[in-house]
Amino acid sequence: MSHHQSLSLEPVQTRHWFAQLDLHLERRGAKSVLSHVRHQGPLRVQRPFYPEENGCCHVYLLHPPGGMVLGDLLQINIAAAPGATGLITTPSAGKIYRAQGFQEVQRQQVHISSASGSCIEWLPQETIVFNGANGRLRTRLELEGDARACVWDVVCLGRPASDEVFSEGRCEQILEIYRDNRPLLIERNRFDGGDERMQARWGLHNAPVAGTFLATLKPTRDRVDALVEALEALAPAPDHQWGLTQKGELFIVRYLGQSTRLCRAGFEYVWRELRMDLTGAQAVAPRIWNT
Amino acid sequence: MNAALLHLMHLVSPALPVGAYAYSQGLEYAVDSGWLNNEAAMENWLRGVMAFGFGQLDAPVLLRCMNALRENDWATANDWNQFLLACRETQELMLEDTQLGVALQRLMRSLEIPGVENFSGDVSFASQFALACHHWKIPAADAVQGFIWAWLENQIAAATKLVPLGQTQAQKLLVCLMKDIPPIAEKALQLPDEDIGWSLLGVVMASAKHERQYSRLFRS
Repeated sequence: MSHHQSLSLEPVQTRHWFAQLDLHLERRGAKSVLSHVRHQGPLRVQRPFYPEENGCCHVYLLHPPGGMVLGDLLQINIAAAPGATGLITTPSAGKIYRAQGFQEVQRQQVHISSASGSCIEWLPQETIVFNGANGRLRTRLELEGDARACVWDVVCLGRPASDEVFSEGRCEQILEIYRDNRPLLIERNRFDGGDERMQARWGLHNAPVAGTFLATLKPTRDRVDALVEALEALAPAPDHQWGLTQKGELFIVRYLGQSTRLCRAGFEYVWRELRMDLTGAQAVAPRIWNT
Repeated sequence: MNAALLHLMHLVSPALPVGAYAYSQGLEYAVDSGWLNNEAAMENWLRGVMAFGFGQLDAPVLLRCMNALRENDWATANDWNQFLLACRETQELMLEDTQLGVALQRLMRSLEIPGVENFSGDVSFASQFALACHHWKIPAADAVQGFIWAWLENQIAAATKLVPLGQTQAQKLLVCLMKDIPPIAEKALQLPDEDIGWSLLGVVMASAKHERQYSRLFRS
């Protein structure tokens, strides 16, 4: 078998990663611990941090190759036992590189199952979808009983900083939340480079960044008013749109606009504001977010 | 005589007492915020939402519910009903669908249509429309066209209240957009499950912002 390595700034397409990580979180006394970690391929976790007094387990998830290439599958499975609390994040943006030809797909699947009394925060950094990529991002949460959760998911289409527009390729971003096997929210976004949905007013209206934040909370009307005011001050229309809504037990904040940085800053703000109601403790942001 | 056609006309009539006229699905915000400041922009919005929103979510779910009912498979019909409600991205879109759904359910109960009780929990309009079509033996291909037609007519009526769109202009727009219904219905009949329910983020944003709009003609 011969390898022809072409000179290209893009990663070479000959690697086929399969990476899986299984994490189990359990409550042991005052602390939540990683009771089981199993990895296959290049996904890793660092030793957990305990920056909070309540024993919430902070976990950094590392994927040393830094991005997905053709034929990749990243499978992340997180299970929280009754009463376990954990915040899981990533130290850098995920990347889905350009695919050459669209036969193969790059997939990232995150599956979180949370037992009653647990609270999981899944707050990864954004996923950058390079022009010409063919990605499928799927995040599925299965909550039992009174399990709580806070999740955000941000995609950046193309690389606006270097004027790279997502003019070809495809990406799907699916977020599904179930409680006791009933779907609470199934949010399915599909981005096709060059498609009219990318430009249309009823579609993305040329915004390269789309993000969804959600938490199992019902903030008061006044609280929501204050959040809207703060978000619109941070990142005003028309370059940035914020959509806040309460769908049943889920409080949802959506961003559609020009800036990954402001989207994340807005979500982090909302997260800090609501953290006490979600976990009974003030937010302590993972230090890695500031670097 | 074609009794099924008459029943379809009954179901898609704006006089059907389900209250669809009270909702605009983000159109009110889009108009008020100047997103749709001319007729071409309005036409583009309605055409796009009909084809990629309603046409690829509500329409194929209606068809799947009808299929399930034909097989007497209530579990599958209930699953599609739950899927559709889970796809509603905002409180307002969820409220509209469940209000219309429960109103049609109530109507069918008073008309003594069997099977109404086999849907559990909140019901979407599409699932109840499917049951009515199934009961009155309306062919699926006709049902889905009528269903999309009713949505379009309701949106045009909303547009007429929101923008200075005269009766004649509104009728012209309706007739123009009607041409899109057969291909959208055809596509809904063929659509694989994994292509059902892609969100239209502009509509989602408009709906969320409409919930907070200070003065409104349409419900939220």
